[in-house]
Amino acid sequence: MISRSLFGAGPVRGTRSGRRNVRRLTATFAASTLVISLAACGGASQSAPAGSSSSGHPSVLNVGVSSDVSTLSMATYATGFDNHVLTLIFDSLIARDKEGKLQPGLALSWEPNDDYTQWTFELRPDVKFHNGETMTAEDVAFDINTWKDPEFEGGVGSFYTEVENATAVDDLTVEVDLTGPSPRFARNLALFRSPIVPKSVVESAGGFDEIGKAPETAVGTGPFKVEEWRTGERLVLSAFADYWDGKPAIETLNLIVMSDAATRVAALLAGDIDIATNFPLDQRDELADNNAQMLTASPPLHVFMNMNAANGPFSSLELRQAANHAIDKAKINDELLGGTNTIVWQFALPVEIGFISDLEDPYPYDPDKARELVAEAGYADGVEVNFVVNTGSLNAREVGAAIGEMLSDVGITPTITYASPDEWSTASNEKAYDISYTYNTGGGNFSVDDPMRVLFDGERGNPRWTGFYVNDEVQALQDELTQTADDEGGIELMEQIGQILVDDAALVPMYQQPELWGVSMDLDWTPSAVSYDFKDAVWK
Amino acid sequence: MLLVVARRTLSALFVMLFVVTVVFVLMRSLGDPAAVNLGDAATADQVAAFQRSHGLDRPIYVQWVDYLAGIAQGDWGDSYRYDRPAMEFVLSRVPASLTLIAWTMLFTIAIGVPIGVLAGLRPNGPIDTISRAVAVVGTSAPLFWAGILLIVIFSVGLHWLPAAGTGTWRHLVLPVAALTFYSIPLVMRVARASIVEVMGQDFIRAARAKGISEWRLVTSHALRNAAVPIITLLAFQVAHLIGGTIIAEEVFAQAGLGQLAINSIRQLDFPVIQAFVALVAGTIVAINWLVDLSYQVIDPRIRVA
Repeated sequence: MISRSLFGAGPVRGTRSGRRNVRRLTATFAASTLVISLAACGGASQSAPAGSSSSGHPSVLNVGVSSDVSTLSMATYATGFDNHVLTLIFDSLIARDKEGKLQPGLALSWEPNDDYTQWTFELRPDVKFHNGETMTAEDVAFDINTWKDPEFEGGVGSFYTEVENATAVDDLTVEVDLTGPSPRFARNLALFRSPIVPKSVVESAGGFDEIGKAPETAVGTGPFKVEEWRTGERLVLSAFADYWDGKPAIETLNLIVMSDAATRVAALLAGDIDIATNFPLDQRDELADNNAQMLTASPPLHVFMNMNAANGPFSSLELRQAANHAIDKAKINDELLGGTNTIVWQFALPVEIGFISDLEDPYPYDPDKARELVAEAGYADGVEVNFVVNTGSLNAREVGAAIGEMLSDVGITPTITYASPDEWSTASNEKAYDISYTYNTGGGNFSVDDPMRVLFDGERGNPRWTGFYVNDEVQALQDELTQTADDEGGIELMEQIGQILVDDAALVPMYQQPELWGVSMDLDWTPSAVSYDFKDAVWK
Repeated sequence: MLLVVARRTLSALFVMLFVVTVVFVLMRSLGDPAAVNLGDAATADQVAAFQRSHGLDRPIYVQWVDYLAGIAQGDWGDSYRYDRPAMEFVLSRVPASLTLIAWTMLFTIAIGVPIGVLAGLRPNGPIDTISRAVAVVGTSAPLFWAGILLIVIFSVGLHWLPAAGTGTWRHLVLPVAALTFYSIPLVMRVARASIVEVMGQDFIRAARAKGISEWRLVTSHALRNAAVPIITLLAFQVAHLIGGTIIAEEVFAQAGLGQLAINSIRQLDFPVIQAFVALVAGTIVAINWLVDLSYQVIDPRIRVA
């Protein structure tokens, strides 16, 4: 019953009326609940299926998204969410398939010289921009030279700091000279980080900062072009007829902003939308009766517990190991996460480069062992810790409470605080906890070196993580890693770091958490782990 | 008179300064906008660059003085999220909210006042009993709950109306219905109470004694006298509805002021929240300022020396 779960969402405000009125109200409330439940059931069995496109037009796709894009330019201040959407409009030099593997994008190939100080990109011929121009090496060189300029404040700038100069050698060849060796340079430009825009549009808009503020400046080479952007309301895209990889089957793509999860669910069940992003897990059972299903995608979303190894009780290795033994990850996954998560016992995820595939679980669930380790750590009478739960991941409150129980059970008594992602950031900046349940989106590179550098590289990484776990040996390996190509030992270095993090119980790795989508059964489409990819969606 | 105008204007400006300052300080205790806007994979350099480019690395009093100086020149700062002028952005959302409020007020008056009057004419009669029951539910049911209830019945169950979004008049039906349900009980009850009170007064008895018809008695004597509290209440209802739209716009995915406010708070988009609060507070302060001054003109007894 959708009604029951939706009603459970909040308290009923009190009334000042007398007792008789309260009784009358209760009766009315109960009656209306019943009526609604019946309406929901009846509707489900006799009404039109949710999946038939709400517009009645098979080439229109309506997607309910949880947020609005903040810009139509990937190069400037795009957020993670923006990037996911904007890959519909802009292509990068290097693409990724739905599992995150590198694919040729606007560049057919990319080769370094012997010491990785120069990279040569061979471009795809006959690629059209949305304004009808043909992409040339000059456009690409111009964009790269803009992004590497220290004055350029946009988001992609940080991936080009090591660029000396980009030159168009001929119409379809670009040479990029670097200030030093960088074996990962090309890989780092994949997907979100080289959204090519025509030089003429940048110049007529008055610079890169103006790109993406108005729809007419959002000119890319992607499968869809911008028709209309009503901020906070919807982004309307249409299929680009001259797309180099073939025109998408969907003619019109409406991304409709519905920030409330219950609204997205209702709109999907009512057939107003055909796809709902960030689908709430507890509504999964509603879908089958309404001709819709829940699909998952596996982006590199790390869910784990981090511990303050620099100060306080968790500076003890035994206590960190005890925390690892104390958590029954399988039980939490089955009972609170609908079995959707993949359990891990190392920081890297199965979808990432750097995942140690033959690692046995060094810390299986074993509360007795955990109690022994707590005692070995010098806390035979138990220890009180400050536990902050970042509520940003799936059902995090329930999971946090369960973890709290499991920790108490082995003698680690937590005081639990629930924090929204930004409150959690503040708490992290201030080192205001001993242990926390949190997550990291992995930087979108499908390689563990990026999140490792953010989390386990001391002050050089991210201020929020500084001091929770720092290790000289790890930092030395990080330095070496930046100078080593993946296929020349880089992957081994990532695995070495990963092994140290495991041996030293630097964190409690928990899950690779999927993204959940509510999707109409009439649609033939698989969600992508890397972005909002609707170019191959087809109505059955 | 000029002195009074000057004094009222000065105090209005002082209230605005106070509101703007309180919001400015409160916002900065909420969290770090760099963290929210850049995501958890951001590096130290990116966080620092964000704070530098938005002036957040400076002491708060410097930011505050800078902010006030900007306002004096009509510059309310740029949205962190959308990188465009915050006030312009807030104003672009006004029409959507005004549409909701206007339709809601129309239905509230067109339905609430007649029912309240009819109920008041026959206290404890059938209309009174039913309207009081509806009023109790309307006041007790939280707006988001009523909204979801309407969606479940009319969109998911019956497929009559779209659940959420904008575009056609059909998209407005459910949010306006939910807001009307939320605003109507008070209007109904005040209309009823005013009529009950007026009908018991001597001039009504005198009019009845003259043999005047019941219809004329109500329309030309009772209603006119009962109107004052009702109209006063309706003015308050508009402010009440600004609060209501924040919830209704979220539930029904309407791109109005309320939805902008909620999302800006989630994103810690300080300039937009500040511009939103300033606009709402400014509107209320301006109305009060006008009302205060109109008293001076209308009723000499209220004139302050």
